[in-house]
Amino acid sequence: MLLMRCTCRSVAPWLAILLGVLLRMTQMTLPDLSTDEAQFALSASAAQPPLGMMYLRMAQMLFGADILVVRGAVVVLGILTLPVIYFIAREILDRENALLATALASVFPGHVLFSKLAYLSVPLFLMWALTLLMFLRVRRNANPWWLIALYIVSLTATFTKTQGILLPALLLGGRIFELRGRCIRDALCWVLGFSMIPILLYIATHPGIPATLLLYGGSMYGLSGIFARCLELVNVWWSLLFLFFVAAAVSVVELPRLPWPVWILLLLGTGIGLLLGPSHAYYTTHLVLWSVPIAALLGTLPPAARTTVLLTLTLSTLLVLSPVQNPWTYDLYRNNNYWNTHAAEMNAALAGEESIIVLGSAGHHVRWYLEPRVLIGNTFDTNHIQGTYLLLDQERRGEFPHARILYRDEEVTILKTQ
Amino acid sequence: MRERVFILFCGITTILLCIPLAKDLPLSMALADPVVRARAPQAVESLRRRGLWLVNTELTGIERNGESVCFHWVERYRNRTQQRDAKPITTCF
Repeated sequence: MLLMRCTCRSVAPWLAILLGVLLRMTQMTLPDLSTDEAQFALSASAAQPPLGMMYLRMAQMLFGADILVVRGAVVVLGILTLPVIYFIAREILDRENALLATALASVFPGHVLFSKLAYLSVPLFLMWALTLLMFLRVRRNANPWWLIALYIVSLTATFTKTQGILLPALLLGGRIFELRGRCIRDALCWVLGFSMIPILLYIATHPGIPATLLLYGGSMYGLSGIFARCLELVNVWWSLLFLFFVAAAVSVVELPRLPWPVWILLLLGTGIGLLLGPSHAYYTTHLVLWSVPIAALLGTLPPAARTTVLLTLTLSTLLVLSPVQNPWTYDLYRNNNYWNTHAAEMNAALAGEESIIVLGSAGHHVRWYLEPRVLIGNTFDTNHIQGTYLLLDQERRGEFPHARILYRDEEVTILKTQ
Repeated sequence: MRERVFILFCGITTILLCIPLAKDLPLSMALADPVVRARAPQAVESLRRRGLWLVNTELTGIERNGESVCFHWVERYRNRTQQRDAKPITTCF
């Protein structure tokens, strides 16, 4: 009986890790590619530096332009994040609790979900986690080779997504504060500083990035309407994270045990959604580091309680993200695949068409799914333009009384003016 | 001593990475001109009126002749299956 209990306790984290890895590989092609995923897959974002999108592009060059490939490329990075979290936790906790942190990260709902979608949040978090790990290593043991590694991962983080610069900048600020301003002789300060220069020059030479910041500043970005933002954030966290939200909240008591660089990434991951868009669920990816304080808290419990909590949290993730439909299944996996199931038929109807004008809210996903060249019809006068139209707004059908209908279903109409 | 060598390595790598980025600085500096900045939204709007995806267009040059400003663009449409040939576009205001 004792042997069985010991075996269950040592096997439970590994089972959770295996389950988390497998969950990341389920239902990858079920939801439609969203407009954000499509813009990253098509390297079509003027607001982002190139590295994250380049990675998705390279995957498509190697394996083909397919949803499975694009999302599969992110799955790989999501899985690679797990050992990084183990090593971060190992800087603070013993081996058993570090493994527990990895198990919790493996089944952390926000990270599982966005590991199988083609957003840049998972690649970014991997680079942030590596930056944190290298920072902790250099701080503990100034082996120069870790300095080079820190430089490389920090630089890569800044070029993966525009927000990538935030962690190196905050770590640099924290280091300056730690040294009371005496940074001239500090290798960490120099390396972090150098790693941020190229991205600053890139931003200065690519007006799309500051233009996006100006466009959304004060509305989506910022703290205006702070109360409403907080409510929305809590709503998003609760709907996806479920019991993990509760566990993270309770694990706040363990924060004093953690070194300040870990605080930085925890606070960054927690606050970034509030600052840049509380409704964007992809920011929950960055909350996965809360698996470390949660593990630190669980480590104070008796082993049986620890295993029970781990299994309960794993079950809560399964309810939200398992392939088996249930009342708690995340919305995205409830019949959200219109384009996946209809695009082939639309393209068959559009065979031979050179271009198509889209009327309605044309996201980048339309360019992904349709083979002809897509023109955005909302911003130009289409009254006298002959051509093929895709109506995302069926109410505009009346503007084309004599057009020939090439395709029609409950969502869209494709017609050709004559 | 070894640490300083590695810091130097990072510094040199930074400079090498910045060299290809610096070639776009003159174009960005042209946007500092208030007349150019005033005309820029009109240029973007003219691209939109053609139905183009702005993310498929790249600004390649700015020419100012007195109060008139010409923006030179290159459009490369890309979808899942293909990338179209680059098409030069000029918008003058």
